[in-house]
Parts: sequence; structure tokens; C-alpha cells
Amino acid sequence: MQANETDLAILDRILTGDQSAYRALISRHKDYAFTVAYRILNHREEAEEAAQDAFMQAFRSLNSFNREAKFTTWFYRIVFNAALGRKRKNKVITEPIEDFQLAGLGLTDSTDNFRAQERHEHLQRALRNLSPDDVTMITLFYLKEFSLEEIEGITGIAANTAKVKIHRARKRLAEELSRSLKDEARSLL
Amino acid sequence: MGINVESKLFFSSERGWGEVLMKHSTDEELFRLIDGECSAEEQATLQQHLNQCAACQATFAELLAINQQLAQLITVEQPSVDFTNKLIDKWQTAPQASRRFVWGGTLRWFVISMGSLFTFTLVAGIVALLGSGAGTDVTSILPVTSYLNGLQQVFQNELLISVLLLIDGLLLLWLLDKAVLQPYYQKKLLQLTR
Repeated sequence: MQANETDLAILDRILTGDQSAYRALISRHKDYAFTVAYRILNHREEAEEAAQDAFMQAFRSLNSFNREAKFTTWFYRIVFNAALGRKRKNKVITEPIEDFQLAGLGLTDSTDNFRAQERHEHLQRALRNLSPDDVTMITLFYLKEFSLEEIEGITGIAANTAKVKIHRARKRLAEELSRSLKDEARSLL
Repeated sequence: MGINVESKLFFSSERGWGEVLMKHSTDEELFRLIDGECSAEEQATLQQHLNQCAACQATFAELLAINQQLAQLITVEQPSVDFTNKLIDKWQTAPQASRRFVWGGTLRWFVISMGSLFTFTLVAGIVALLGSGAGTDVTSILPVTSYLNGLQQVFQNELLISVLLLIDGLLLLWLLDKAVLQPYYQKKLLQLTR
């Protein structure tokens, strides 16, 4: 999210009928919107659809946006709800997220990286078992672009509670990861 | 961690062997340490405890590892290259009813100023009516100066009042059309074409 032009300045351009401003707003937020939706849905096409729905909804509601609030909080709440709505609607989503992730991490099938790859696969699986609230909080927290107050605005979970939930979710992931690695080691014996 | 306090044997040259109760670090404290949220004092205390306690050291290593893996795993993803174009097309071809009316820029100011003019006309009209109808000088009963008296004369001009009322009427019709009629009929049309 570049800071050359503020979100409000782009909104002003949209409201005065500047069509190119829509493109500017999309370019600015599409990656983060997609990432949040992707983490909730674990499916690229579904996540793209959710992000597009969120943008459409935001465009339609720009007039109701309270300019004293932060645009990102308002917008990512729409993204969060759009992804959540889609998740509820389409229960069965099976795309393995690993294929994309491992390539991004630069991990190959070489023996050196095998264990790291294995841990990442287990972590991905464990992440998928978290609730949408938890996975969104973890995602926003690790993207490092959102304060706890913004996370509160997006997920509707109070900042203090969010912090505790993030700790607990990480602990749960650590436990689940260690359990599944142990199970796998046992099955190999 | 289930047990938060543990007894530990220690040896001191002055006191010999003894037993102390050692308070384990909580997960929350360890995460605060990992996230860099501890004060220098807290950090020193936790580090000191970690140096002495193998159980907490193991938990800390586990939490640190998960933190590093999550930081590696959760990065900004990119949608497909045609995401923006697809979205722009979708927005431009979206039915007017779903795009709704955007109040913005000059249009918003136009509506606000016309609304103000409407209120002003209404008030001025009432003042003019009171002045002419009751046969009394309004300025004598209202706490106003000759300024209002001048305005009263301006708004006793029937042609001016008619023009302003006509503008107000048109404005009301336009708002009714934009906010109620157009969305209603476009929705009906969409239902019929589906």
C-alpha cells in the first residue's frame, strides 16, 4: 500500500467522477484484499471473487463511508465479510494452498529442504483448521500493516481480546504442528 | 503450560542446598517477548528465567519457531494479472440500480445549496405572507432590522417567488426520480429480464 496519494484523496477523485481513480484504489488494495480473502477461503478463484465482490460493494457504498474513520478498516471489514459470506455459502473447498506457497518460499524437493517443506505443509493444514476469525487475525497480524485497533475494526473483536486470541491461535498451531509431525514420524516407524 | 509454579533445588555457598518456588513464564509473556512488546525490565526478567528453566526454554523455542514459520508463510499474495481489468469491467457494466447514486463533489454541493435555497424561500415566503396578509409590518413584531424589511420587499415580488418555487419543485421531482423511481423501475426491469 503506497502512501503517495492518500485513500481519501483517491475517494475524492472518485466522487468527482474521475474514472481512473477506481483503478488507483484497486491497485492500491487488491493484493491485501486478495490475501485476506485467500487465507479465509484457501482457494484462489474464490478469493478473487470475494475480493471483487468487496470492491464492488465498497464502490456502491462510498457515499456512506465516514471520512473520519480509516478507509482501510472500513474496506477490509467489507473484504472480511465478503470472504466469510462466501465460505458459508460454499462449504466444500479443496484446493491445496501448498503448491502456491512452497513455490513462493523458494523451497524445492531437495533433501535439505524436505523437513522445512513438511513443516510448512503441516502448518498450512493447521491454519485451515482455525476459525475464520482466528485466521484473519493471524493474517492481518503477520502482514504487519494493521494495528490491533484496525484488526478490531475489521473483525469486530476488541483489541485486547484480539491479542489474546492471536496468542492462543499461535499456541494451538504450535501444538497441532508438533502433534501432526509426531504422528507422521510414528507412522513411518 | 499446565503447571505455572515449580519447586527447584538450588545450592548457594552461603545457604547451602535449598528449595525455591519458581514461577514459569506464561505463553502470553513469551509471545510478548517474541513480538518485541516487553519493556527492558520485563525482557531481562524473562531472559533470566529462560536461562534457568529448561521447560520454559523448550516452550519458548516452540513458540519462536511457529512465529518464524508464520512470518514466512503469511506474505502478501497477488491475484491474477487481469484482476483490475475484470473488476473495472464488472463495475462499468453493473446495472445502474446496483451502482446506486453517488453523492459527491459538485453534485453534493449543488443539492445542499438548492436545499438551503428551498428553506430560505420557504421562510422568506412566510415572512412575506405574514406582512401582506395581516396588514402589519412584520419588522415591528420580529426582532429584526431594516435588513429583513428589505428582504420582505424583495420576496413580495410574486414573479421571483414563483420562479424559486418552480426550481424547488423541479429539485424535489429530480430527487424523487433519482432516489426512488429510477432504482425501483430498474430493479423491476432486471427481474423481468432474468
